[in-house]
Amino acid sequence: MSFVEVEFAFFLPLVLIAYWLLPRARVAQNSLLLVAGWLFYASWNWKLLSLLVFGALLDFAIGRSLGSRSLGDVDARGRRMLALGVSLVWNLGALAYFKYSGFFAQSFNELMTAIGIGASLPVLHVILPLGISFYTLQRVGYVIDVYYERQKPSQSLLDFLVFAGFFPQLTAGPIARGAELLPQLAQPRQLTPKLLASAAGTFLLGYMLKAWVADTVGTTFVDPVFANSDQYSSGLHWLAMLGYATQVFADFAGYSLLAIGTARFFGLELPINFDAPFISKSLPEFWRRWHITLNRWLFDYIYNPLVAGSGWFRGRFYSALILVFLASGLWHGAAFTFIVWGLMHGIGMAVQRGWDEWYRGLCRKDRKYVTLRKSALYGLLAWGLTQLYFMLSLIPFRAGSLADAAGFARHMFVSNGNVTLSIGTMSALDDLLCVLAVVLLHLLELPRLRRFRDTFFAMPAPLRGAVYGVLIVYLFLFVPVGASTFIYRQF
Amino acid sequence: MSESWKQLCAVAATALAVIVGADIALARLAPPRQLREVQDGVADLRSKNPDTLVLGSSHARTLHVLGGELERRTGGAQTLVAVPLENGKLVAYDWLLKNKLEPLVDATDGDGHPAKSRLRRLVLITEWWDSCPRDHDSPYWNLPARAWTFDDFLADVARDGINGFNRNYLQNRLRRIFSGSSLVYDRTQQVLVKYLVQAARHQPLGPTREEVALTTTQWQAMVEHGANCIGDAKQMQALADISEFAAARHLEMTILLFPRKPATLNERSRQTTLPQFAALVRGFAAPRGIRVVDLTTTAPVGDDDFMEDFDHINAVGNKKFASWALEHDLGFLLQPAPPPVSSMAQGNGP
Repeated sequence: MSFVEVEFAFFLPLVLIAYWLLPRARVAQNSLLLVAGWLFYASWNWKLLSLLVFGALLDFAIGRSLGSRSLGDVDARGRRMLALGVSLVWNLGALAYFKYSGFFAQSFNELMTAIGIGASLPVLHVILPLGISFYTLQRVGYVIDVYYERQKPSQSLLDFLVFAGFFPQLTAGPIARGAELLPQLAQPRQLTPKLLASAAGTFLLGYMLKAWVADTVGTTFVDPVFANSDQYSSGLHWLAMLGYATQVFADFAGYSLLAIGTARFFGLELPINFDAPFISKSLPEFWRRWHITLNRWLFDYIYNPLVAGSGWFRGRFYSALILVFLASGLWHGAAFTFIVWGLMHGIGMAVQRGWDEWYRGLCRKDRKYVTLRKSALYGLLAWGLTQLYFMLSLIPFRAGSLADAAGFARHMFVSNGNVTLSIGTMSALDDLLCVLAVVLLHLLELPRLRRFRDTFFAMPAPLRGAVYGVLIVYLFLFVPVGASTFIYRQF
Repeated sequence: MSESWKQLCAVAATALAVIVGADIALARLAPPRQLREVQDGVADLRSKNPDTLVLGSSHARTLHVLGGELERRTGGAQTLVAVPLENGKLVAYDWLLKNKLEPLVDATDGDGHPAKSRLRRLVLITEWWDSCPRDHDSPYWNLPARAWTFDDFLADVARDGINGFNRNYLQNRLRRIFSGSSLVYDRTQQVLVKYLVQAARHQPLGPTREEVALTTTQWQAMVEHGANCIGDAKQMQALADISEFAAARHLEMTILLFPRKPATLNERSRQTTLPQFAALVRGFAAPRGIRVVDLTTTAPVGDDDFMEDFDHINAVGNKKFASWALEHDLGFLLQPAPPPVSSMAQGNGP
């Protein structure tokens, strides 16, 4: 089940009505959320629901166990580490088995063949449990936080099971921290007009981004070029890359908003996942604005412990950055294309860090460099380079193989293709509006332009209603038929 | 009610008013069609005691119109119920027959007598496409889902999870909830934007000459390629099952090969797909004593009698067809079917 499929049009209203008809009591509300979450998951594959439930039960027990002994208790250190180890082995082991076993076995076999050794490992073809990359990280984050006493262990099994299987975020995040969601689950929720308005607005915006922008742009001028790269001109390759950046943003930001909006319908707040990433002027800023919850997880639980720990990586910021983004690439998918994508961003982040350090040195010597850094030209250049780098990194991200990625990259500069995209006038206008919608969303996040957004919300209610009505009619007419799968759902 | 709730209601009410207003305005360009669906046919069979049961794809809707004419001409002495299964194939008809129609056909009243005591005929409407295998890369064409109950849906979900196949059930339910909406209806037709542009340019509404030419070419190619797929083993087995169903109940069975829009047929398909399929059906029917009525090219319906989809006969064509067919090849429907040698009424039926 996904937010833009027809079943959700039945599921959500039914669960919502039941939820708000229940007594405003934590146990009643959480019980319904638990049943809804499990039903939501079981509608995809009820057998693999057991994996989700067992992992949640294990982590709840481990959390309780960790909470019963203090971090400072020297005698309990071994038992605490064992408990943490069990959780990590189970969670990361399951992730590795389901997501990476086939990839590593196949890669090993290919390597052996290449060097002339006939050894071969059996390649397992196992179903990738839906959302495993997301719910695993959320639970691992919780257990580590409890271990380091940054988070009190949940005392309620019911609350924890909802935390581990809250259906709006179950399949593709946002990855919440225990401290964000568990306290909310410990309180009964009240229905307020503000909450309902916010939920509906967020949901509508998410739907617009996913079902209209992402699916329109993807089908009209991204998929055809990627499918037959050699047939199209270099110009269309650049257009397709621009389109893909728009598509992947609209797809995942749209998904995230749908998740956040759905959670708000139940009176729960999920962390935001996107914050206008295309206005970023540096890669670190970009990654603070793009898939925020994953990146903060990677930095909280991999980067920071590495550079601040006592191991080899201590103080080795550049190596740690590359490692973190390699992990990010591998997290996205068990394929070399994702590893290359991660490597590109790891190197990009390391270069950016080096540049920043070097430039800070210049600024300390001469204040004119501070002025230069604040100039519009510097900003424009930084913005252009950041966005260009991100866009280029999407080539391996989108391509089916490294060979395809190399071919596409080559055709961006040299191509004999002369096939044109046959888009009708209305379709072209619709595509243009899609891109403008994304641009507008970003512009409205700029401090100088935020007041326009505020002006809209200050308009009389009927006027706002009319705007929403027109938008919905437009979506009815222009959302492509047949919702496509969310790109990030496959991760 | 607090001010905020009032504001929220005002936003929702205005939005709804705009949507409904637009829906009504757009309905003038492309009004939603209330098509007879399989549920309607099943409901009719449940409540009526017809002489003839008609089973087929969406083409069976034409026989529904013919049923009205039949009833008028016979003063209600002869009736039929047409059950159209949108986009169905023989396997789907067989599923429908066994799972939804059989319980109704075999039902008895409180005294143990057959509830459908008048039922003597089964007319199966088909064409070459029905005997081709299901397109496996397109599970979304699960049209039997239109005949599903919620239990059927749940059983399928429990077995395979929610997928494109069983999602048809929900999509169909949702469409029926909003069956009066032009905006919802257009999700299946995708013509409103085009019509809006045409209306703005003061052009006649409908497909352009280029679109008609393209669709004609595509249809001709599809029918022509049909020669490569007709007679699929599973579909033919389903046809055999359907005929056994009729024989076991002593129903006089007729296979009606439905008229095709003349423009969709080129010379090649007239020499390959159509005669090959007709021969296949006749070869199947002859040893079983099944009547075959081949109206693929002989019914007096022209290109103008078909809808824009090139597939279905339009309202004017349906009337023309009904009138003509009852005077010609389907005239037998005007008369009662000969009584079976050993009828169900005598207690020898299943």
